[in-house]
Amino acid sequence: MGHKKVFISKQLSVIFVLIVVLIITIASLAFFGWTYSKRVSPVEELAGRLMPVRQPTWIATVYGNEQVRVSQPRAVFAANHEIFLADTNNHRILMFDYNGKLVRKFGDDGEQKLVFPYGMAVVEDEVFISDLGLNKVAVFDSKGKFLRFFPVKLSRPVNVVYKDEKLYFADIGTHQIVITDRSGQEIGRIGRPGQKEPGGLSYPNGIAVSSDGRVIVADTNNGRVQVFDQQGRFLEELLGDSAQGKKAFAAPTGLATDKEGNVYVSDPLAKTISIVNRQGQLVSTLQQVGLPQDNDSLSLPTGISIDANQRLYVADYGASRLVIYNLK
Amino acid sequence: MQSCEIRSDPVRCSERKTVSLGKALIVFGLALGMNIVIGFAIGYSFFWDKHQQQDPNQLRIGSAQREVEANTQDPQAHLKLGYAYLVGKETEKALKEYSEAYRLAPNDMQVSYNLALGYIADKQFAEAIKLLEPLTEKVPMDFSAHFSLGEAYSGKGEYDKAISSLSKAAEIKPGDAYVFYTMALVYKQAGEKEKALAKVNEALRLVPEYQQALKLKSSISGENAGGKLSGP
Repeated sequence: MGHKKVFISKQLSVIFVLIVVLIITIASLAFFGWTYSKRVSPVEELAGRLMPVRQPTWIATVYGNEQVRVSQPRAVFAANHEIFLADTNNHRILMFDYNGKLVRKFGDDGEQKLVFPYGMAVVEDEVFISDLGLNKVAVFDSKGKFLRFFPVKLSRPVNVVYKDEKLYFADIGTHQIVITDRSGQEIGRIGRPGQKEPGGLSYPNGIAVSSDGRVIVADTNNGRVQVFDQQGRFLEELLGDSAQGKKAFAAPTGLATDKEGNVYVSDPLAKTISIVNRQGQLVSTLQQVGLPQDNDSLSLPTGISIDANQRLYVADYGASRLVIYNLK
Repeated sequence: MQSCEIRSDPVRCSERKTVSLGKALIVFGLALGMNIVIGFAIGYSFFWDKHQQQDPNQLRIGSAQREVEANTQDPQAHLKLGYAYLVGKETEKALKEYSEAYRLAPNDMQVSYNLALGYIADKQFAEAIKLLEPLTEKVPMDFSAHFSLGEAYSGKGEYDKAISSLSKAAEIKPGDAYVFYTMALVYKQAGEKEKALAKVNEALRLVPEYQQALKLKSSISGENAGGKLSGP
């Protein structure tokens, strides 16, 4: 290969080089500025997409700050580098940045006050909050301004999940999962009040929808996790380690799935998060909070959420805190 | 890039007025590399992975201190701060706040009870008893007052009175394994091993996997078998 030279006048070449250097600098500033504003490093984002899922490692525990302390949180939702925590005992939602620093609180003042915020989902710029005190689903914008009540008929909504233009509500009044479209039009229902039989639900608390559209339901008072298709047909029960003769779950409450399809089940009575693979087998359990020498463990883990960067967020109701783990 | 000094030779001069693509790429690469290095350095120094490792006790104390500063005459604010200190094992400061709450609301039973807890934590058992006895008389079904009175008597070495108070607490809450465990501890301290064993068995009947009770039981059984005396 010969050494090829491009000949241009000195002034032009200097200007050209300066312009390109300037473009590189502006692009870098814009790119890094964006990552700074989101508090997330590009390495973290890349690792979230490329790295395999591993045993959770603790990152941080968030209690709020001196002015705004978390009290008995029921649910957590993490997306777009923001963390929403249902600070249930304080009747409000707390929004944290990616580092766990409080950004704002809402729902405890203003036009519509929350009573018992229980479950949450963020749909584009709107926060859907199922309130077990109001027995309604309130919709706020991400700045904390109340927008409307979602027009869906529910008896006692405890949780809400959004996936592929559909909203899934766990209703402990009817013991069913109610599916609606974005306008609130009911599309279908999953399960029916029941105990032992497949498809029977008793106080279903948690919902997760897998990437292939399977609806996973924490059938809390029946102590099991059931899987349904989009038409509400029972597919299977996640057995965990019940194959070894142990009861898989005591009272499964919150559900989340990672990018590999593993299902995370919060079980407050057992004080654990159980991790179950796609085949329904128990992979591991999570209890530890902090470093091993801290001798701290989950108290009553209720709501859980996993973000695109494969971080697991746990609302620890018993210890009034948010615990963050890394899964990669 | 050199300036052209050979004005008499326009061809050579023209050649020397050029920048090679290789040099330009090196400059671009250096600019990009520097931007990336600086970008990452700033990011990891100020913006990324900046999780504050919070101490819940310090947070609780700080929050309660703010409340006291805002409402210096509110006994509840002093109680909160006292409790925060107590949890943080800062007993002297806790007692000071509880005493202040008591000065502000001497007839408030909750305040009296908390002050008694502060005295127990500070091992001033006689002071605690002075506060708790009237409480158990005013509200005979107050489980916490009976239980704490039992603890105070036990701390003072008056084991019979401790057992009597704890028995009342057990009557009020017969399903509370911790009461039976505490009674077992008191009997053990009093040297009544058989009664201690009976009470620890009662606790284990209620909560079979009660780890502290299991340890206490093995400790008591070990003593019975001539083993080394050890605490739970």
